[in-house]
Amino acid sequence: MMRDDESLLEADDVGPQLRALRDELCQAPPLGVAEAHLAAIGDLLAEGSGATVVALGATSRRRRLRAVALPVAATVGALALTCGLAAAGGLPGPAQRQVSRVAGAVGWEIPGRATSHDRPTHPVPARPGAGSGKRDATVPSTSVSGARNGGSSGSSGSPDPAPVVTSIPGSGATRPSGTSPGSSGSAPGHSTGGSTPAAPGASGDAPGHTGATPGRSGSAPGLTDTTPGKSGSAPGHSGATPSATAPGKLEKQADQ
Amino acid sequence: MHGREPVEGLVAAAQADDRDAFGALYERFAPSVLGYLRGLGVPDPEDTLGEVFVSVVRDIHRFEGDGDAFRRWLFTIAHRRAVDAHRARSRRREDLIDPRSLPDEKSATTDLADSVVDRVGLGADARAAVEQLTEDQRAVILLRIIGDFSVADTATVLGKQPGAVKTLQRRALAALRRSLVLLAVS
Repeated sequence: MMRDDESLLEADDVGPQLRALRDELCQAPPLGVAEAHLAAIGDLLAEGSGATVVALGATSRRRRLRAVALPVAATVGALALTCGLAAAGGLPGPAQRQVSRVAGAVGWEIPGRATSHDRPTHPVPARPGAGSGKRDATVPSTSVSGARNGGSSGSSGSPDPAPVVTSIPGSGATRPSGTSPGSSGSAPGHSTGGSTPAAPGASGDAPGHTGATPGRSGSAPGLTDTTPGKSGSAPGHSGATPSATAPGKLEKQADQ
Repeated sequence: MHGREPVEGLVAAAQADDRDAFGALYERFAPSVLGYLRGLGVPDPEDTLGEVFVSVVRDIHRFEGDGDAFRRWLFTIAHRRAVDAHRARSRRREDLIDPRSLPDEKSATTDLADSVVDRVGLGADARAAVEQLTEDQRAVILLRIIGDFSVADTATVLGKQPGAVKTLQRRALAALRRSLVLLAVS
């Protein structure tokens, strides 16, 4: 009887068959395949991945995580600080207005004016039909005051037009003109009249959702369409078509 | 350049990123590794062979040992790649195939003679017989005849105890003998 550790190929009964099997199986790879494999090996060596991969080892994962985590943490921290300051109205004027505009787009109410007294407070006379596309929301959205303090001379170089309170049909909300495209009214997430950034399928808020056009899903998860009318990649950004919130429309309403 | 240099020398040169040394190692071991992968029934044995050697290139700086240790290490990589390939194939089958749509499949214990249709020669008989073994039995037999490994080395490659390998071998040989007798009769 054969011992366990004896070569199986020497067994009287199955030895010849097993030898034949070995010879049949152990054919060298076809030349093209071998060349491809050797080329791949050469490429790896040329890249230095042999040493590099080993040198990285387990520590590379940690290093990579750290390389990603630190900037992310720093960004989150900076954002938190900015938001806190903005909520308290502690940012410089232009920054405060910017943050207020962005926050307004997601339905957050943040003072549009810094609490520091860096702007004149005398009232500006009302002027009909005034308004530019990128008007800052210099008063809270709930305000219906026709008077406006100061102007946006700091940002646009020209005096602010007087705020014209515009009633949005059917919305029940009123807001001063000059809110920037895409910024919402008082209702969280409520978008400006005439634009349809919140229309189903167009917001791009849903992860991986890319647009309303059937069959155009092709982007990787998290990527959204950049077609006008669809939202961009900024969370909460309604991505309103510029024309939908064209200043001309508001001005027209104001004139009427 | 490296000719019939001992494996230890080739490994040392490869660890110094000597491209020719890698080529020599490939030339020396690719047929047996490929044979092992073929014998295990890996779906794409040549592709898997490439993956094995890529792993060797990547990890050779961590290897320590003599020529026998290198062979064990190489076949361990090959075995793991084969297991991965089988799992991937099983997953693809589950994803793609609705079992209800399949015609009546033959049972796992297909008539041995049917599986040898159009095959001739001792090698074909043995191949058919080996295909009837379980995966572990097949791996043991192939490592023993292709890798020329001892029971202990086979156990190292498979991550099993030597006693388990002996048991698997005995059962495999018994099954092979029965199958080969059947084939001879038919």
